[in-house]
Amino acid sequence: MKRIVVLLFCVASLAGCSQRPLEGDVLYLALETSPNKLDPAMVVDVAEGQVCSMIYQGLVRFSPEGTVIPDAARRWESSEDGTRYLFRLDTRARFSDGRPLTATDVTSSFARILAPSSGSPRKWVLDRISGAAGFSDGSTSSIDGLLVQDDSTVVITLDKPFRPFIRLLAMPAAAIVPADSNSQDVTMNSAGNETRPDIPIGSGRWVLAHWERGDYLELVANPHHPAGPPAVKRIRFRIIPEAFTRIAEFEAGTLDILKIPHAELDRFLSMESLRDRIQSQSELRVTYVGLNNTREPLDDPRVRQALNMAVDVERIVAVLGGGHATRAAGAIPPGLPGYEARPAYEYDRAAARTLLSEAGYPDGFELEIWQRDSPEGNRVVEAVQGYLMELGIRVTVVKREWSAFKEAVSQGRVDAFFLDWYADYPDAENFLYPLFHSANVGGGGNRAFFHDTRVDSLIETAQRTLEPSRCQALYATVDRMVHEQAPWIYLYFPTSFIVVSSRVQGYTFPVLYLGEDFSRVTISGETNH
Amino acid sequence: MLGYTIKRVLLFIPLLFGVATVTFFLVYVLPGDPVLSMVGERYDDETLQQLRREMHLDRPVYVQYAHFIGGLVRLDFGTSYVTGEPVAESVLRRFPYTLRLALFAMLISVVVGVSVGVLAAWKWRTPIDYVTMGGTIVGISMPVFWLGVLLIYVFAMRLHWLPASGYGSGGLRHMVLPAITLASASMAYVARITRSSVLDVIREQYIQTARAKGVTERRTLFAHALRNALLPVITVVGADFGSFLSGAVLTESIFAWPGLGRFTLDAILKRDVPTIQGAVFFMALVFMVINLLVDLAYAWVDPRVKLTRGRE
Repeated sequence: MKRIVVLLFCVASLAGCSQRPLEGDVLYLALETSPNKLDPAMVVDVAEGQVCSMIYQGLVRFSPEGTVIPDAARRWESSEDGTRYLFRLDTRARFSDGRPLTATDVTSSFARILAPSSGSPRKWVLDRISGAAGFSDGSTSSIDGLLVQDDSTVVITLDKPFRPFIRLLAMPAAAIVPADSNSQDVTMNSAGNETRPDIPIGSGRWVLAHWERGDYLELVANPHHPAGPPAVKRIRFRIIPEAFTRIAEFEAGTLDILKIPHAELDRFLSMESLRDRIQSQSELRVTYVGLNNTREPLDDPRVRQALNMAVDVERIVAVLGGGHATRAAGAIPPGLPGYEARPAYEYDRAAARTLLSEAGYPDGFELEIWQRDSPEGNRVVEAVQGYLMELGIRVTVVKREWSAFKEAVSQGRVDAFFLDWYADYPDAENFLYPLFHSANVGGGGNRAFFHDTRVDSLIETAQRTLEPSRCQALYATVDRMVHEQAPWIYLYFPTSFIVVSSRVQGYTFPVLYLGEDFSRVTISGETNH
Repeated sequence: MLGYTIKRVLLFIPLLFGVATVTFFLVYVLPGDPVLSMVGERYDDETLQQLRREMHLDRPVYVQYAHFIGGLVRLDFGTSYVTGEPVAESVLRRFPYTLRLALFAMLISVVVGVSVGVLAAWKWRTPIDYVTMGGTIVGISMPVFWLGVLLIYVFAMRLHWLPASGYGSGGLRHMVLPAITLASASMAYVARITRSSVLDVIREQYIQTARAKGVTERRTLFAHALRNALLPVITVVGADFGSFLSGAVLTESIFAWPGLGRFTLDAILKRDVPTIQGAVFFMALVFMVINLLVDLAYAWVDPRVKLTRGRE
């Protein structure tokens, strides 16, 4: 009995400890997944991209609003025909070990990704550069489109004009690392850590000070950054996979910014103390049920249109999405040039039935819809299934985890699938080209296996059209043409919400996750929920 | 005992070989492609082919298997497809987190479980017995996920007594909630086994003798009955400890605990073949060692048990 008493006493005394307050100059953030690699050449997911955009500089970067702003390049100009870009580097730019960032670092960083042996999945970001393809497949030993004019001037030449090119350069794959980054030498960064060959040093606002895989990452300010030290001294990214746990941490006052899960939104909005600290952002993301345009009976546009008419998307948005989404009548999200508020397919079961009869399926057909397990997918696919069943379409929902899902869908082995597409860079081209150009069927992004030569050529024209209004008109035309052929069941553009702790000021919820470097964030006072 | 131990350790070799082979082929037939988890959502076939070549995934399965077994013999598990780190290094880096949590959970499970079990047996057929045994039913049937969420809600969100999640700087405070969550079912089970085992022993002749010669009830219980009642408890505790050590995926996920369970789950979801193989191999080894220790503990607790190999 004595032992029990002692144990109870221990537990009670432990429990009696009160929560430690957060450190005043540290920003506490959460990542949903653990980054795997922090080498810009290898970065593919959101968590990795976000951290990399803080550690590394590109020639340019995204502002929180999604515009392209100077980073390592102080200014740039492009030739009238849009094939030649000249970048003047900020001569004050320094890597975190104090070395100056030079034009050679820029070109070698790009060559490092394009090299035949790099194994980088992001070569497509840079493959528009003249000579990149030949260098990548090993047929040439240099990239003639990359030129070091002097220590602080880089000239990039493209084979043909590509309007969104400057935006590609703001992606993590175009980050600048020291020219000797492939050497196995161990050096020290300014945080006093050994830099490992798989995490090159960067010249961004922050330096990776500590990385405990699966637990947390800690960033400290880069003392050599020309803009001087940010107000926040350290940023601690904790890896918290469960949504509930992130909410608990936020409500316990130990997390500074929380992305509000959909199911919790109403509760947060109803809390007086939090309401004015909630920010929303219309995401550059489209959700859809992709239909494999090559499989019977989905190869008939009438069938695909009928499916669009059979689903009451307005209601799905209103009921399941709490109204916090914009119904999609195209793939280009609102907020991007090229978006057009055109009428969506009207929910009309009778018309859908007529179309199906015309196509020769008066009694419906069997359809498998694949999804990966996610709260959003579960909600939406079940609703879509219900609507389609009313039309006599016998829908089976197949759930797979991401790897198996991606393999089957990209190989065109499934009828239909619930998926979304996030912008890598804020440009309508990043939706139309990967999702609908026939060069990208399967793994490239066009998982509906949509094919239309007119659409292909219009997208290509838009890519090289430099005049903004003409380009925008082309994007809108393509989006409308594709929508008419209904390669997907178009769903919605989501809006997401975050809530910021009362001790944090100056944070703007960025349009793109790459758009915030926390340099303007300040911390004052205690958390008060 | 030494001879027995050596024989048991030698037996690990074919067992581990079997585990490694089964894991290899299970992962091989699993749908999903390891290279796909490395390339993001936009990729071309050329990159896939190149990555497959680099990772030797383009070779016939028997060559891959031979390569894998060859590495295993040298205790080389290769490098992770996803992180590029040596697998053995990552597994060993994650294991201490799991070990700490498992030890603490085990401590809770044994101390609380045995105490409650003895108490229930001592107060057999009294309200204390009924209440504690009712409590163990709750403990056994409560889903880990739900209990974890409940504890976080009460102790972190409402009372602000303990941190909601994470490893923190390694202090005990961060370990309390996950350890209780992890231990709950085991604790309840230990209590039940202890109770029934003590009740069995109490009816033995020698206990009656002890009572007859005037030994106090408490001394009879702790000095005579409990030691003999512990054997079945050791079995349960050993098995539970093995499963704690091989990672508690749910508990580790809810509490954002950077242990081996979450690590392995991530590897499986990303089809990180070398990591899956390395982690499963390591867990199998841990399980075998624990089982051996349990068998040795039998002999230590109960001198009547002789450790011999083969049929008696």
